Amino acid sequence: MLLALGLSAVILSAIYSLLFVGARNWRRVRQRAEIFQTGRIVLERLESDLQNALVLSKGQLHNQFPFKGEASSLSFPAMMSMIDPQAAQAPYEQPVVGVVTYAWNQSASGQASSLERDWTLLIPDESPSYETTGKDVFPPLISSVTFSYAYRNAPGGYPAVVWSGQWHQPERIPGAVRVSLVLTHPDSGEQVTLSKTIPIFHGLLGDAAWVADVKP
Amino acid sequence: MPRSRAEAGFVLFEVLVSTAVLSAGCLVVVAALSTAMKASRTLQDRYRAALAVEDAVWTTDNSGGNFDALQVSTPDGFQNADWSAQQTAAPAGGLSQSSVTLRWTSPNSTRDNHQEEFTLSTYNATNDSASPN
Repeated sequence: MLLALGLSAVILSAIYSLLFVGARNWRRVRQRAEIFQTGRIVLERLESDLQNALVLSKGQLHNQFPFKGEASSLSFPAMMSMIDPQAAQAPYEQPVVGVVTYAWNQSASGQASSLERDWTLLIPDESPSYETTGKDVFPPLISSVTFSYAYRNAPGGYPAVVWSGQWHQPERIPGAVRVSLVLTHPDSGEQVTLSKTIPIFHGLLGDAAWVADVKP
Repeated sequence: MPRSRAEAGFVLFEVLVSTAVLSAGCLVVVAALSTAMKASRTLQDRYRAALAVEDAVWTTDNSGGNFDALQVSTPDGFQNADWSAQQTAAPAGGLSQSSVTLRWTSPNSTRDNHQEEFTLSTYNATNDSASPN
């Protein structure tokens, strides 16, 4: 009886250890997958908005809503689509022009920083049946975000493309925006950096003569 | 008084066999978890490699077609990373192909020193085909 109990205890302990290790590994996999999924969602959202960026015609709106690019925020007019709940027949989605802003809001304590996406539709004289402003807050796994903008170097200059943390030419859309996301899981503390260059096909590279803080 | 078979409980041999079967099952589950973890990490590495190679292709296209390894950033943790680029000249009137490849040694692979590879190709119209006849 004692021998049987002893053997059972040893074997059950081994089984418990195995399952414990397996469950811990599985939890790590899930946490890491959560980090990557969050990063992928943010990058895809940014890519979708940036590739629909546009320049408003010259005039008051153009001056009011240029492409503003900073290292921790960017704001630009873009084509968006809204679902009209009162539309009786297709198309239910209405193409509209709005202003999209991404901003990294750093709290004073540094504890509750978050990446936010604000949007406002530019509808001067209609009263639409859908929301005209909104705010999306991305999951708190993001611990920092940095935007940089592509400039063409002077002829013969090296490197041919330089990146700056500021877009100096608001009258045009940049040819590409590089987004660097650092994601940290609060439970495991694991950190992943995702960096993506988002090309904007109708944009133009900036003139490097404007760049004061060129980083090769 | 002797106990009936139903009241006798399990003998040591039965307990050992059942725990051995249970252990084998647990080992299989843990091995499957371990394999899933490695596969998940490999996929995540490939996603980061794809982002880096997309960046390299864009930089190459906007640098007059000149690939420069110093201009691209290798994702953190990639061991023995090796960048290469290839341009295939097009026949007259065709498309030229440029490819960028990133190779790295995956620490997550089930095989030792297994090299992972990610290649992205773009096609560009040559001057001949772009100009009107």
